[in-house]
Amino acid sequence: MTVILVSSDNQDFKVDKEVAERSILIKNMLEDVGESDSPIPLPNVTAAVLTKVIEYCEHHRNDPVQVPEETDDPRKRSNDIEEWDMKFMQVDHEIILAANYLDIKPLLDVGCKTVANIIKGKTPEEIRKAFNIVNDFTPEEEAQIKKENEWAEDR
Amino acid sequence: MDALPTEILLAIIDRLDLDQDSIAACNRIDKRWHSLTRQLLYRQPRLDRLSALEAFVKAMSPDTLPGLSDEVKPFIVTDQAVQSHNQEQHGTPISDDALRISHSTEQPSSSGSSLKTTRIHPRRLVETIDLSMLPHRWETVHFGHIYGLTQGCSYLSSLNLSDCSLLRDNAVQSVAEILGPRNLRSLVLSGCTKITDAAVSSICAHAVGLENLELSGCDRLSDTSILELGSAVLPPRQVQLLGSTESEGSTGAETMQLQGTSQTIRSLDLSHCTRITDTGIRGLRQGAMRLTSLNLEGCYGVLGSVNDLEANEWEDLEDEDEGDIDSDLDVVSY
Repeated sequence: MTVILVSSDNQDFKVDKEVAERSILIKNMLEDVGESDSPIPLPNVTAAVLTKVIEYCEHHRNDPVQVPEETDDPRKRSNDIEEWDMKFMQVDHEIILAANYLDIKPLLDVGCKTVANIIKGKTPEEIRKAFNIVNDFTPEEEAQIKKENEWAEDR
Repeated sequence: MDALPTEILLAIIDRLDLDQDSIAACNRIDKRWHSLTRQLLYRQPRLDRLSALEAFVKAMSPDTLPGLSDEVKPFIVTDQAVQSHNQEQHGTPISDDALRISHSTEQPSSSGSSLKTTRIHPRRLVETIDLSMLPHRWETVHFGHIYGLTQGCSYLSSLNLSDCSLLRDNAVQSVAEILGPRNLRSLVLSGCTKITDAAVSSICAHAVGLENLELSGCDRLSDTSILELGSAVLPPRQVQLLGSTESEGSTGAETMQLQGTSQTIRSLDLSHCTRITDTGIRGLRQGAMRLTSLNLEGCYGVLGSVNDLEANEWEDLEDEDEGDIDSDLDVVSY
């Protein structure tokens, strides 16, 4: 059985139900609507991003449903990204947003881990560059925080 | 990135696995990241180099921050207000709101610097300081460091000074006097071999909520210390601080809230305190009602066997008093 997803820019995507249901949002919608072949609008996701998200869901269609990982060893957590996922995530944070909106926990998780890995070992300036973040501190504030945090940084 | 909602940024920060260098870097990205990472960065600072400890003490010191020296005096007032508020709720964390209000009234005219007026000084965020990972602490950490830490981070709930063996009674006194009446719950002085009964005495005189005390290898301590730990009771503080209106109606509740080490201590490590004898332990057990863990390993002065102690003194005690005394005292001894 297939379902039709409609992106915010009105493109239709025909997807196996099983694949689409990796998104908890869509799964719940389908349950609410019952047997129906009317297309599902996703006004928060563009076609470009949806393509990537569907690609992810196709790749992971046979994964077991993720169990909550509160008890995981925290030191391991951000290093265990599959190679395929790693390449896949070299896109941008729109995928993280879409994963959050569509409620696809494993994809959101991979996204956050990827960003965390990029942050590790970088200076604040490098992080700003990597993610296009504008420094909104005044020079005085920046100096004060730098001074305050000196104990944590001078290596 | 700016578009990501806070919950996602927090999930990302969570994936940094408490890596202090990364969190410190995130703390300086922009204001949003700054406010999301501050608490994490300061709650339990990792101080594993002497230079880090010294820089930390300097940053936390009430009077070395430029432009903030004016707040030292108002702070004393604020401290008390917060303290009473804190104790009223018996152990609940300091109210952020209370702090924020007092800060903004302190500096109504400081122009432009929104950071200073709206945010809490990082020293307020520090909960735990653990020096047990600091190399050579036995020959480097001295009174000045401890004095600076207690002056700055006076709301610590946990302090580990194990094997800081240069420390003498005066360091413990400054810990007891400043941290004791506030949030201190756990204090580790194991291996601080120079401390004497005077140090324990100052803890007993000031600590209102101490639950864990580790004194392993402090072999100058005698039964005087142990007896004092078993008898230290302080009057409830809020009666003095809040005035009598609230507490007068509830005399029953008042007696329940007796504070002091003998009332709050749950876990005590006296291993290798070789001068301690049965006299001290007996007194301790009669007074320290909540004690559930007592380590007497290597206390060769304590002759009564574990079983004797448990069968006689401890059970007698239970019969005399209310039934809810912990009967499962876990004693380790050899």
